[in-house]
Parts: sequence; structure tokens; C-alpha cells
Amino acid sequence: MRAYRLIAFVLVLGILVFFTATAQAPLIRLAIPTTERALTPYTYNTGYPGWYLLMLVYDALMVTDLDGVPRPWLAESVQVSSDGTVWTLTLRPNIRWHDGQPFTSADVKFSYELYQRVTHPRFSGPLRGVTVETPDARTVVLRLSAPSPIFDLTLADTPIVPKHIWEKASDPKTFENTVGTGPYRLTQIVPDQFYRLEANADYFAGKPAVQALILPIIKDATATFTALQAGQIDAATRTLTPELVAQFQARPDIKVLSGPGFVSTLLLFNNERAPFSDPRVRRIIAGVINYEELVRTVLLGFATVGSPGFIHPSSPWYNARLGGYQALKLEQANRALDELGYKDTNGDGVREFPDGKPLRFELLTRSGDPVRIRTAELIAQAVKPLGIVFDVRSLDADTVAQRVWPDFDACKGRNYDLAIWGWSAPVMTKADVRGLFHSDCKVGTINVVGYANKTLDGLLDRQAQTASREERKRLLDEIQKIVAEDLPFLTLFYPDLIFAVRPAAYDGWAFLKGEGIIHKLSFVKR
Amino acid sequence: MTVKLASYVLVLLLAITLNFLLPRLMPGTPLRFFVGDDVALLSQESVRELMAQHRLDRPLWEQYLHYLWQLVQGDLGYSYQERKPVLAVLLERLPWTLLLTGTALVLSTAIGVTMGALAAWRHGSAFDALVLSLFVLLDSMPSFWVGMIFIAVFAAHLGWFPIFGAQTPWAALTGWEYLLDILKHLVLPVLTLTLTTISGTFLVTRSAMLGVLGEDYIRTARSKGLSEFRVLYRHALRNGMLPVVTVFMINLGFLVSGATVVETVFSYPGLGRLLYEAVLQRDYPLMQGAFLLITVSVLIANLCADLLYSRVDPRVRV
Repeated sequence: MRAYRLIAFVLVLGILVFFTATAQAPLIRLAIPTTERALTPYTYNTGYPGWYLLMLVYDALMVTDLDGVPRPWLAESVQVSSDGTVWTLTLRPNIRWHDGQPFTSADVKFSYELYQRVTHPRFSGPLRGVTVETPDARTVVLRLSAPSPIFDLTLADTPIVPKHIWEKASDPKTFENTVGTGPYRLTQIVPDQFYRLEANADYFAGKPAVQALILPIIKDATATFTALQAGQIDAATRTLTPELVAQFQARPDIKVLSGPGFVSTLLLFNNERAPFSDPRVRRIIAGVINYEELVRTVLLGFATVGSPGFIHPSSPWYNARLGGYQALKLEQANRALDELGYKDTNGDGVREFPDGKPLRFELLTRSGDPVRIRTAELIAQAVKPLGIVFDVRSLDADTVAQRVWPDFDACKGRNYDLAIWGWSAPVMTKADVRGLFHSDCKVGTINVVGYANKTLDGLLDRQAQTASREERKRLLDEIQKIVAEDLPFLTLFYPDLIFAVRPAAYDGWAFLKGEGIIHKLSFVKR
Repeated sequence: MTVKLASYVLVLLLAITLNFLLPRLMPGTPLRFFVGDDVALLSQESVRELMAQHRLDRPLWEQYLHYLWQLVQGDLGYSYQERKPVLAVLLERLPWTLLLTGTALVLSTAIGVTMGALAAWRHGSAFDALVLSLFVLLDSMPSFWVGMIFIAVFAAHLGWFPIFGAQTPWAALTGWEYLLDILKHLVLPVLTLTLTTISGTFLVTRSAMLGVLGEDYIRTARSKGLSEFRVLYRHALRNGMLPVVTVFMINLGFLVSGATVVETVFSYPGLGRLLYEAVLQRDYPLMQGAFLLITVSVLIANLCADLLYSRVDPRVRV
């Protein structure tokens, strides 16, 4: 009897010890590809993974949930006036900065005004014309100059910094203090080598699931995944290329996580140059490309086929009635080109303009990106039977950017015929159609194809200023329909995000739709 | 001497001007790199404001004068990418690079000279043929490939050495353990660098020695009954050293420019990799600073070589 008791006791003790030990993973090593400098709001380096790592140290008033919908975070409630211009937020009580000082509405006011005063490439623009009032320590009232249906995304995007520390900063752009309210505090930086983050045990949303995050910088992609296989790291912010998936899936010690990605891959037409200035020509090109085959061949199926309206089918803004591209048979396409007056007059297999110039164009793509180069080659192959030649030219990424988008200023025009291009995830998250399609280059800041459609301009302005989400959705449906008809560029596909991790080190990763596993909710209970 | 000094100053000025001009002649702007991928989110005003902030909206001559004025004051400027003074960024990386390239240079010179001398001495033998073909083979192997093979075999498969970095980030080691950790991280990169640079020294030593060993005074030395070792190292090698010193001094000058490829493959935090990134990211101030550092060290090595030659070979004295 006594022996049984002893065994039972030891067993219970063992289980207890086991659970207390596994409740929090002690340490994981998550490789990042490049420096994030001092990891403050003004010094973090990359949009991905930089901003997501920044948000492990800092918090915003809201946070996007795993479907990408903003939910209250530092704020416990968010109310919007019926005209959409007044946003009233009640802050969560008893939140403290990493140095123990209480977090109040004064910090919010200070931070927002800081971004308004000292230009930040990401945080300043959306806060233009916003005034901040703080009736008491837990209430923030934001007044917008015009209603914005996606202002909640801004609230989830903008990190709050402590007033008592940052008001002493002489130059915020180089200030290096990283006291935040976030789930992790930054405890060590060795330049160009690694970062160390330690869990903030007093975090308001509960103790983070991993005690320490080591972020070693591994610049080389091959070295990153070799290190993962050898067990020298536990995860990487880099995404796995499709060719490696089978090899990693076969290993019992490695888990592959994948899901839709919001980065887009596009075929740009210069809408200001013949023949691509003619939507009929663009539709013919669009009709002879096999998008499913592109995804199968180039990405081994790890991508979503592009929607002609640009918006990703996983986005809440997607127009589900849109359907895919209108496929054309070769004879149809050839007949259509004949009718438009592009004929092969000298019998060399290449059509000519009426003035005798051949239909031969440069298709730019950046070197060092095999997926895009292969895509360009397959597209060139697809249009060849039409008597149109696309000469694929792969150039240094910056040279391509300079020809497509000189000095990142759409008003400076463009110097290309065709290019393979892509926009990062935030363009999709915000559904920034106004930037993409507006004909006024000061508004259409990323309209790098030079597309102009006055009817659409009106809709684009309206969707940006409507007070309601439903109204915006309706307008966006209409916009996607027009874009799918006009095809100012072709959205070819959206590559999936594929990650490899070692589950033995940590297995609590959560996939944020379109954005991946590197974000706050992978470490904080939701 | 004054002529020589003047020529050095002229070269330095020319290099400074080129260092300023060349990066700006490349297509592309550094804008994306002070902003990151979020450049698509920028408004047009922000674009212009950022360009103005970094004086990139000014005419080139104005930027050039500003750069010279900063330089005179000993200010290398601010790195766009690192958001830190260029000098601080360079000094952070310099010790790692010197450790890596310095060790490799010493090893490759020592082994290269010894093997080169031995091969020349045994000219035409099986040993010579074997060593010669080995070194030619080494010469033909690209360093990234050697590095990747080493990683695959010694780091990933056998697990003897770490795969990346210059130290273990999470270990917080001290004393001997810290040194050992650094040494372990150093082995594969140094080995890669040594093996892929060794053949230059070897081939130069071998051919110089072949020339010297045919001289009359060597025969005289041998006929005096001196030991082969003495003939080889006291008589022949000393006189055959001049081209070897040249190769060594050239390598010495480029010590600080690092070993970009090896540093990349092993994620080693050195200057070569930094420079490469600065070029990719159009980080003008960092490029200028790094190139200036390289220019200066090449010039200094040159000067040393000039001074050293007359010691090594009195015939050069004027």
C-alpha cells in the first residue's frame, strides 16, 4: 500500500514538474536575414520581418487577429461616430512600460504627434490631419479630417512609445531606447550578429509563451536552412522555397507551415505606350497566359492564382463574383490582333505596327529572383504564337525599379514596356486601390503603369472617404470589376508563405492570413 | 621622397573623388533603403522630404563639396542603412575581418612559401607534380563552393563546427570558453579562405625559386658542401623573396576589404560583406567610408612595400 502511494506521489510530482517545465519554452532561436538596427519605431529596417519584430517590443492600440481584422489591444474599446471622423478609445487599465512607469493616454497623444512632427515613412502618412485629445488618462479621442474606413488598420499599425523617455530624445530618428509595453523586452544587440529578447512576465495579455527569443542574423538563405536542419536554429523568418518543401516535410524533427501570402506578382504594361495603351491588346495577352500552369510549374503549386481585380481571394475585400481571367484560344487571339491592324506584313513570324515596326518588347525582371525570371520566360513563350516577341531582360533589382518607378515617384513617369513586379503585403492588407489605380500621380503614388480612367478615379476617391466598411466593400467590388475589365496590369499569382520550424523547441506558431507566422499572436495567447 | 609623397597624395585625392562619383553613377536611389519595403506606402511629399534630408536633391558638385568639407573635419558621415556614424560601423566590423583575413593570410603565406620552395627544389619530381596539380586544382575552386561543401560536411553532417556567425549568440561565455567559441567559428571560414588564396603565393614562390636555383652561386654553395637545407633557405629563398613580398604586400593592402564571399557563406560579420551590402543598398556614405579605408590601407601597404624592398633586395636601392 505504501509503495503504491509512493509511486502515485512520484507520478503526480513528475507530471507537475513536466507541465511547469513545458508551460513556457525556455528559448528559441529564430534566424533573421539582415540587421534591424536598434529596433525602435524609427530605426527598424525591413517591413517584413522588421515591423513584426518591432511589435514584439511595442504595442499598438489595436492588433489584427489571425484573419487580419483589427481588434482592440492597448485599447479595450473603440467607438466610431456615425460620420466616421471621431474615434473614441478607452485604454486598458494597469498597463505598465518595461521600466515600470504606467501607460496612459498622454503616451498615445505624444506618439501620434511625434509621427506627425518627425516624418516616418510608414506611420506618418495615415495620421495626417488627425488631432488627438485626452479628456482623461484612459480616454483618447481622435478626430480625422475626413472619414477613413480603414483607420482601424492604422491604429493596429502604429506603435506607441513612452512619453517620459522619448520626450528627452534630441533626434528621434537615431534615438536607441527600446522601452515598450510589448510582450518582449530587448535585452541585447550585437551589431550584425544577433538580438536577444526576453519575455515581459507582467505582460497585460498574459505571460509570453517563450521565455527568450534569440534572433541570429544569417544572411545566406542556404546557410539558414542548413542550420535549421542541423538543429542550430529552431525557426527562420525566411520563407522556404517550394523545391525544399518535400525534403523538409520528410523529416520527423521539422514541421512545415504554409498558408496564403499577400505579396503579389504582376505583369506590368506601360499603359502610356502603344500597343499596351489599348485595353483590347492587354486583354488578348491576358487571355493566352495559363495562370494555373504558371503556379504549377514555377511554384510547384505553392501559390494562389491571381485575381484579375488584384485583391487576393483570402482578403476580406475580395469580390467573390469576379471569377478568373477570360481565356482565349490561339485562333481567337490571332484574329483579334489581325482586326486591330497588327499584321505580319513581311512574313518573319513577328507582327508589325501599321508603320512597320515589329511587335518586339523588353520584359524587365530582377536578377537573383529565379521565380520571376522563370515566370517572364513562360509568359514570353505564351505570347510567341501570337507573333509578339517579349525579350526577357533580367537586371539588378534597383535598375528595374529605377526604370519602372523612377525615384519612387510616380510623377516622374516611367521608361519600360513590360516588367515583372510585385507589391508587398501592406498594399493588399489595406487594399490600397487608390494608390494603385488613381490617374493623379500625387494620389496614385504606386500607379507605376500610368493607368488613367476617370470613372474609376471617382470610385477610388469615394471608397477612401466613406464612413462605413460595408459601403467601402460595395465600392471595392465595383472597382475590382472595372479593373478586371481594363487590366492595367495582370495579377499573375500570390506566392504562398511557407515556413519550416522545429516543433520540439516551440510549437505554438499561429498563421496570420497573408502575413505568416512571425507576429505577436504567435507568442501571446489570444 | 617629396615626389613620392606628392604622388601618394595625388592618388588619394583621385581615389576620394572616384569613391564619391562611382556610387552615384549607378542607377537606383538609396531611398528604398532608408525606408525599407514600406516604400510603397510613402506619400510623394515624404519621398521629397527624405531626399532633401539626405541632400540627395542637391546638385552633385554641392554634395561633393559637402563631402570634402566633412572629410576635412574627420567626419565620414552617417550610414543610411545602419543609421550610425560610418566610422563606428567600420570599426565594429574591422576586428572580425582582420581576424579572419589576417589568419588566412599568415597561413596561406607560410604554407604557400614552404610548399613553393620545396616544389621548386624537387622540380620535376613526383612530389612537385602532385603539389603543383593540387594547388592548381585549389585555385580553380570558387570559395563559395568550398565554403558550402565545408558547411555541409563538417558543420551540418559531422556537427564539429557551427554553420554561421562569429560566436554563439545565446551562450554568454567568458574567458577561455569564449575564446574557444570564437576559434570554433573561425576554423571553417579561415580554412576556406586559406585554401582558395594559397595557390597565388605557391606559384609565385615556386617560379621565383626555379629561377634562382639555376644560378651559378647556388652551384657554388652546393659545391662548398653546404647542406641542402642551408642552400635552399639561406641562399635561394632569400634571393627569390622579392616577388613573394610583392604578392604578400598586395594581399596585406586588401586585408581590410575582407573576403566578401566567405563572409557571406558563413554569415561572418566582416567588412567585405558590409561593403557588398552598402553597394546593393546604395548606401553612399558607407561606400565612401569603406572604400576610403581600403584605399588608405592599400596605399600604406604600398608605401611599406616600397620601403621594405630596399631592405629585402639592396639592388632596388636608389
